[in-house]
Amino acid sequence: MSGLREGLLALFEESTLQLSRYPDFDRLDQGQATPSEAQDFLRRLARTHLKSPRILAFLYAVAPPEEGEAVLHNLLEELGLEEQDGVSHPEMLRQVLLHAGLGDEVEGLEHQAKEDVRRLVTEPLLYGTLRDVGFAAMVETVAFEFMLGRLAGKLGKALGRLLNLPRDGRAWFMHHSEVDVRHAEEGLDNLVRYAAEYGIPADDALALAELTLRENVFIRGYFGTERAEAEA
Amino acid sequence: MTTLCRMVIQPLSIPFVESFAHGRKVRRHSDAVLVRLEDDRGHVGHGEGLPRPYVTGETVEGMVTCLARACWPRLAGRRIPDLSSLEDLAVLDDLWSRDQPTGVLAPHAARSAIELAWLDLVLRRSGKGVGDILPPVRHTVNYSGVVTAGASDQALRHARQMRVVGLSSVKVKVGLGDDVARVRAIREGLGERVSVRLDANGAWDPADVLPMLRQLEPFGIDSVEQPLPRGDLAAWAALRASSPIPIMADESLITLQDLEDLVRYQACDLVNVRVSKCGGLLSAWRQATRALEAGLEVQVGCQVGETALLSAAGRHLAAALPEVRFVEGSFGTLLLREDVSREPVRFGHRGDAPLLQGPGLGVEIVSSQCDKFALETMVCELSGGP
Repeated sequence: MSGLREGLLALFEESTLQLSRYPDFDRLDQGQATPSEAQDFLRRLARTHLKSPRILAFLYAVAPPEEGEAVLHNLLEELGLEEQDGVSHPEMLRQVLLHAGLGDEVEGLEHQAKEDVRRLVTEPLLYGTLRDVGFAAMVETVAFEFMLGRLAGKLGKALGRLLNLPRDGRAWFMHHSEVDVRHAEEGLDNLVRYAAEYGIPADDALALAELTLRENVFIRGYFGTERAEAEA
Repeated sequence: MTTLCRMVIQPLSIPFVESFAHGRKVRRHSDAVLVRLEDDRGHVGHGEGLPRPYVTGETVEGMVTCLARACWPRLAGRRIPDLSSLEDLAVLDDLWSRDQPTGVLAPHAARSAIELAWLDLVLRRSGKGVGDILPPVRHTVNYSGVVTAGASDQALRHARQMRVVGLSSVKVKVGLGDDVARVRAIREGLGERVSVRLDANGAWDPADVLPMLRQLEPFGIDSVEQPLPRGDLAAWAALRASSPIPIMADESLITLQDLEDLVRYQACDLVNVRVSKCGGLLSAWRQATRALEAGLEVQVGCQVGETALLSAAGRHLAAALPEVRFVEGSFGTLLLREDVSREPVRFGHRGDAPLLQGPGLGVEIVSSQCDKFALETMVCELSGGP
């Protein structure tokens, strides 16, 4: 597995850098976005992450038995079950939406997240084994953890300023800024062990990761797809 | 029988996941033009064409004008009969028998968009699918991958990605000067079992073609597409006679007459039949079956940036032809950031894709997606033009 961890790390760093340099992200970060743009961002962020428990449950199912504990830990944390009085991450997202004046859209966003799951499930599989599908899903999950560990705090502060979010309304961002650096480090190790345990050659593992991240999944999720300008 | 009462034309601009380059053009978004036809009972059909100035001479603007100014006056109020076979689409032939716009070799993208929308509407009206009038002879369609033009390291990365997807055949865009190094890198990345073919899009200098093909032959190349520009079929025939690699015609095949000329000159071994380029499903079917009858092999090709509509049409064609050597298309969200259909049409592992069973073309178009990516929306009503 020589070089796989470094290769994955480089991909995560590049994707995170692209997001941080994305003009719309910069506008949020610099406080130049309008409240309406900040709300749009939150809608997309919520839609992207409301399905996380399902993705983590899938990863738990396909993880090598020795690695399952770490994924289970993340899953329980996501569901707010890891500690007494824990709050699930979807609930934290609902709180963000409520404080941002989007409370009446929660149901619709949850429906959209379910439609996204439907599409994931019905789309023809690109890979021939659950091994490869699981690896690709884990790459995307760890990539988000890597990025959120570095940018969630910044995002929370920016959105807090733009939308007057109280501390409770920023809990999702604060939580991810605190735990995801560690999650991503563990995730990188887990990816390497996953590939080794299930016999994915390093070159193929890296190709799977490149294919998964060839479009910036953060920009796609958080800022959506705008119509391209017509070429001259 | 119902009556055609409305046509909506939408040139789209859907961003690509990553740019797509070949010897003639670098594309960063889809410039598909969608047509929506509606009858007086509320039945709807969707069609698509992708104009290519260097292939048929059509531009997006010219295609939209052709549809709105030339086609709609002849279509408006037209009675829409049922279809019992694909040949019944010949009812639309009179739309195209008049003068061509200046510079346009054939208005085939416009023709494709109208014909597919008409077909979709008529079949949906009667609850039928394309398979009812063009019965499939295979259960799945197997697609190739495409490595776009670019540096060798980028090409190698693409090749490795295609290997993990399990594709059994890959087309490589060439004609950019570093072809030998790129093809070598791609062959190494793919391994020996994957079928590799080349597409020069007519970009090679005619004097260099044969030496180039001899350099590339050792990499196990199954065919080379459009090695020379369109025209000069004697040169094509001479190349074919000497080439160590089978020759495929693409831009040289637009019309049925082109095909007869290619056959007469023995100018190629294979032809690339694409629904938009050929002017719709009926014309593509006629060209493909005539090519097979003449002893040529057929590739069902695609337009870069096509949406689910043209991908669906191509899949029906590929499923129904008695013999098909290679199939391209159905990249869906592998290339487009978003598609316009509810259900994805893209191929899966090994390039396999199931037949489309639903009514009409077998894809459900989401209007909000079309609106989101439309550069403009032109509505032609029964009472007049746009």
